[in-house]
Amino acid sequence: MSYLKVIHCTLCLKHGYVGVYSKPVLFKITNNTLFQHLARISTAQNWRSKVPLKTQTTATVKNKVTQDTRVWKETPSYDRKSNTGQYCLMLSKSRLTSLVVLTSMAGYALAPAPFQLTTFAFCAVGTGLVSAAANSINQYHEVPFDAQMSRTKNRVLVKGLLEPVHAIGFAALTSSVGLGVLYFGVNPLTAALGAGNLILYTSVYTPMKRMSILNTWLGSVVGAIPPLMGWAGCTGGLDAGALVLGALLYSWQFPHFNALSWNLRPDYSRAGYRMMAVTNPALCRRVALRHTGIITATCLVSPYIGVTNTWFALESLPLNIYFMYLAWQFYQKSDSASSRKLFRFSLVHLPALMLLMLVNKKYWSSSDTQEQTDTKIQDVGILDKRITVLPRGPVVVAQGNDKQC
Amino acid sequence: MNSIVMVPIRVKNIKRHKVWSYLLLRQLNTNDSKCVQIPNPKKISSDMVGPPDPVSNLRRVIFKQPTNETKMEKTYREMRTEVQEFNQKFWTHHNTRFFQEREDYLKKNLPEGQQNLSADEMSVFYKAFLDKNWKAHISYNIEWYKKNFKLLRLGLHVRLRKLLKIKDQ
Repeated sequence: MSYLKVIHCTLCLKHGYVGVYSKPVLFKITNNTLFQHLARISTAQNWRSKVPLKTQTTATVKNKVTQDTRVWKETPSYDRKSNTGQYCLMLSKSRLTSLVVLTSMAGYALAPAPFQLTTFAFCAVGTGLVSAAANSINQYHEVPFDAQMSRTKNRVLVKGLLEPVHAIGFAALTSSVGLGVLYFGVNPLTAALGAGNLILYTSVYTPMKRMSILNTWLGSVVGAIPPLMGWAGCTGGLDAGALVLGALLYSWQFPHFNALSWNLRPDYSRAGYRMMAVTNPALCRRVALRHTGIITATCLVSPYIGVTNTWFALESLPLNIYFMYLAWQFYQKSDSASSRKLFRFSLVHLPALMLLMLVNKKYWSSSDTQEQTDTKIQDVGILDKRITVLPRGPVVVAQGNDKQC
Repeated sequence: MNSIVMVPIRVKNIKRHKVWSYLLLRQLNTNDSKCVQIPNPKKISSDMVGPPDPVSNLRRVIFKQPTNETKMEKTYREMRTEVQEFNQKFWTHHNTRFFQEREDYLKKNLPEGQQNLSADEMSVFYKAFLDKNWKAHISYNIEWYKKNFKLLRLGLHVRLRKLLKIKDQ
């Protein structure tokens, strides 16, 4: 392997030697590719620009994608402008953020108040932006720790593709826009919940990860707040139904995270993260199993609290029983296979459960406002005097409407 | 083999004089990819980030030292270097200790004929290591957060100054 040091001289015949511009360029040269590289340098558009030559193509023509195989690279990366979208997604931990937005949307859709598309959209966008900000700040704090673990060592700040200032700038922008959208587009309660969650995640949970295993319980609260935000966004308040949804999300975090962290014990130990899986493995397995039981119980109880109809209790039972079964396997065997199964199923379980809840929700007042339902209840009262056999519910309301027309 | 090749690339007419541009190429041979030269702070056009250190897993950054560096920029650059060294030192010691203690644990507890211990048996070591290093981790954490905030503040100052200076000009 050999390297080129390229010196560009400009000579003028009359005035003699004019200038020399040296640029050490490291090229990997193998098998007579010297003159290919020469041709590339001489015709390079950016030879005179300050941007150093950075592409190093392999000798093969088939490989059209130029790969930067240099050992030392610019930080922050020069492709920031062209890859802005990708870097934003990476800073916001896009997969986690989309799951958070999904739970918030589910909270909105399940709330017993009219569905307004604009408010719904604002709620989703606002939650997504605030979540992106929280994740960006988290990455800013954890650069040396992320570098230690194989799961996180390719993050943008660890690799030097972006600087901490960029992460914080991105967080400042997304959090202000997100909270603004929530405050003006939805309602102050949702914005307050969003702001509270942001502070909880970045300033309490993130440092606590390295201090005590209680961070998992706190992190579960952080995960339970987005559906509450969605619910508050729809109804303007938090009632028993909201707490049911929050409790479901809270309990779900335990089998999800405990299973994930089970296989990362060596990395967590070396990087200094205090997780149940490392400090108290028995507790880790117990808690995961316990909370799958709590999820099952909560789903069975939800019809009585008025969030869903009774069909939901029946339909969710197979899903929850299988979840409990996997948690039981994890409790018994506690090996990498059972933990991975539990973790993967948790990613399926949550969206499936929320879909079932949505399909079986009790209140479907999509076009009615709160006043109309109130007047309908009065009409039903009048009707009841004449027709006593008819059951209360949407059927009576529709009939009441017809009678009015 | 150190060969020097001179290749004409361009002829321009500047003020009716022919100006020739040449490319002088000096080929340097190195045997190993690991012998890549560390960039010179005075010659690079931007900060450069290197490969991850095999022990500490942290990537080293060489900070650009421009000729017209202001006092604040110099303080910023020196602080970044200092924090980098602080992190490098901590993690090198920490990771070395981890692997050393893991080896000792394995030597003590590995029965004859077996290559690895099961995950549950290893987890006893992982828990012990975490508990032993709790205080060290906490104090490193506090130090790291303080330094990180300082760097952020200074970094914002430097950038703001640069932005305003450009606007003034």
